[in-house]
Amino acid sequence: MKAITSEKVSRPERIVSLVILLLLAGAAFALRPHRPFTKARNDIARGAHSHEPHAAALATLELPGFEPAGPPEFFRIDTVYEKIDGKIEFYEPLGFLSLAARRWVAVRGGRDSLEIYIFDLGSIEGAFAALTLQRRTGARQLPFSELADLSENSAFFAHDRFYVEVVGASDSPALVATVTEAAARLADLLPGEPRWPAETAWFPRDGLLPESLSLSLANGFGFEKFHRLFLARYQWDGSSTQVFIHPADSPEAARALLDAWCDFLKENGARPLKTPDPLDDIRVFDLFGSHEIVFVEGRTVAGAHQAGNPAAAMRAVHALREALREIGKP
Amino acid sequence: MNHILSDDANIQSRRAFLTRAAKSGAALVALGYGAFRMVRPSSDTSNPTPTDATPLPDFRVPKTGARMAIAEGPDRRRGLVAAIDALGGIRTFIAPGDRVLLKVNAAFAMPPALGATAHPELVETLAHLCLDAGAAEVAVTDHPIHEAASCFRFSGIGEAARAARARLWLPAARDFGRITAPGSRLIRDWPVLVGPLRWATKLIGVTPVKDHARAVASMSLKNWYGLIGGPRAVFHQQIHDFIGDLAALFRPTFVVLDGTMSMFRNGPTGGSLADLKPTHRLIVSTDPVAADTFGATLLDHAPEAVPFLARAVAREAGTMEWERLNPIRIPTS
Repeated sequence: MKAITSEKVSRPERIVSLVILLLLAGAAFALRPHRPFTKARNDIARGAHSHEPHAAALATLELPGFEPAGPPEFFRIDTVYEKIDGKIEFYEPLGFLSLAARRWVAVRGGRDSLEIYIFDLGSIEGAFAALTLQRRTGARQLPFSELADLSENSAFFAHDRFYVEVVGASDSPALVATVTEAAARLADLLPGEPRWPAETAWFPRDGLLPESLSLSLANGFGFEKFHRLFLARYQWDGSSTQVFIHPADSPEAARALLDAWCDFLKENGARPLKTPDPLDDIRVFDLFGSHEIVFVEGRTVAGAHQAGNPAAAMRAVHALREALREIGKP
Repeated sequence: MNHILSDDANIQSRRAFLTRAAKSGAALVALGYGAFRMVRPSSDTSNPTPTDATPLPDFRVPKTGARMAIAEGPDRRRGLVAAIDALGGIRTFIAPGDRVLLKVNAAFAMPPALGATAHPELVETLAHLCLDAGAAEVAVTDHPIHEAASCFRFSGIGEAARAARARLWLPAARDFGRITAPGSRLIRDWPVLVGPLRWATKLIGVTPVKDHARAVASMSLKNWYGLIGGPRAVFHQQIHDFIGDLAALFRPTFVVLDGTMSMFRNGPTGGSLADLKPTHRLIVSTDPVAADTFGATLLDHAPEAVPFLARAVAREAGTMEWERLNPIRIPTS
């Protein structure tokens, strides 16, 4: 008697097996080992990344009196730590896609050199956040863009989805002039234009310190649900207050976010305070001597953070709420 | 009815089942091994690093114990000499004929003014001191994350080494050996820059005080990261545990922690001179944990805010109670 067809496989079995194999193949492709660093670094010399606009800008940039010390370099997420080490922890939450970098040295010799880093962060918000979160004390605005700073030896600017650093080896006037020139030329070579995230216009102008505008895209104030946190500082009568705006998808989402923020504050020791006007839907907390103020306007959570002067903070908060109401009107 | 089978059919059915099970098992084992290699790749598959089972040398000088000196002032050269003198002079640490390895922080191809790398003035002065004390040879090394030759060139460290007649040891593949660090669950069969460590009889770390986006601060203990090979970025996810392991693995003769200008923000690369602040402290210590705990204060960090310090203490690499070493403070300005 012939045995049952034990070696035969049913059609459903074949299909299931095929699906599993395809899934495994897909997983293997996704987890394939990263390319060696040296290969990735050299790719650009062979033109492999010349279609990337920031790499192309570095390949074509010319600086009088300086010559490239080598070909442009190009890094993606799997290799970028080789260039900037732990600093990737800062750029990754901002949407890091790639980095193009190139160094120039003075033709006449000596120690003058500069290096340019162009980060593609994928969005104007990412570029704006990279610039504003790292903004150096005492930096002054460069004439070619409102989103360009000169800080001692180096220039920093946001341009469309790109964040650019032109780092000079010293603060000698001649080198700083070249750094500034390089930044302006790059702004012309890169596609797009300097762009502010729309929410930055929601802050009222009276009393605003413009250089204080910044954006945090992850873990704002240490609170994981604040992932699009716009910050600004106001100054009146010698008192400075930091205020914030966090847009949400809907008024309901904004209110849930407000509740979560209040819970977070209380978990960390904040004590609710009575508000001056009980009809005012503004919540106030004492957090170890400083004040946290928060409210919802439409689909936006806003307030003041770590305010030392409650009266000045309340003034800033009311001005901010008024501005948000105006924006919300049809 | 086909569910009533003969004995022969049952045997063949079981055999078929066992064959299939064996094939499936083999496939799963192969898949698991492949996945393991993907998650934990070797550093260079084309040139496998040999295993090095010999424990790394302990470079401490037993008679010195845990000691620390803090020079206060803006002049690095003067501060270094003064701090070493306060600990008994360079001959306390370096004997005639010693081969001295300076493990510098040359992580980036950045100019010395930006404070991202060990300052060349310190490298040159230290090499001179060691050679004057009778050292047979001084070597300067790091396995930078970026191209080594560029890092040594643009940081000025290469030129400083040459000026002091020290050997610049650029890491080559043959210098690496696979180490399993005792008590570490991370450094297991992992490439380490053992070549210069096996060559040396004394080890001195030289590094600046810096802010670090992931590790909170980069100082003496983080500097040992530059002795690790392979795709070491994987350790960033457990950076504090990893630095604790480094502290236990590398036992230096002493460390030089440069807080003359501390990078207090935007580290570890910085980029602007505005990222630096004059803190005017240069620490020489036989206890790197104590040095780093003091260094953290230059960045306005409480020791608890720098978790790798406690990890290093747990690995018996030193103490966070740096005041108990009665550090000698030397004004140099």
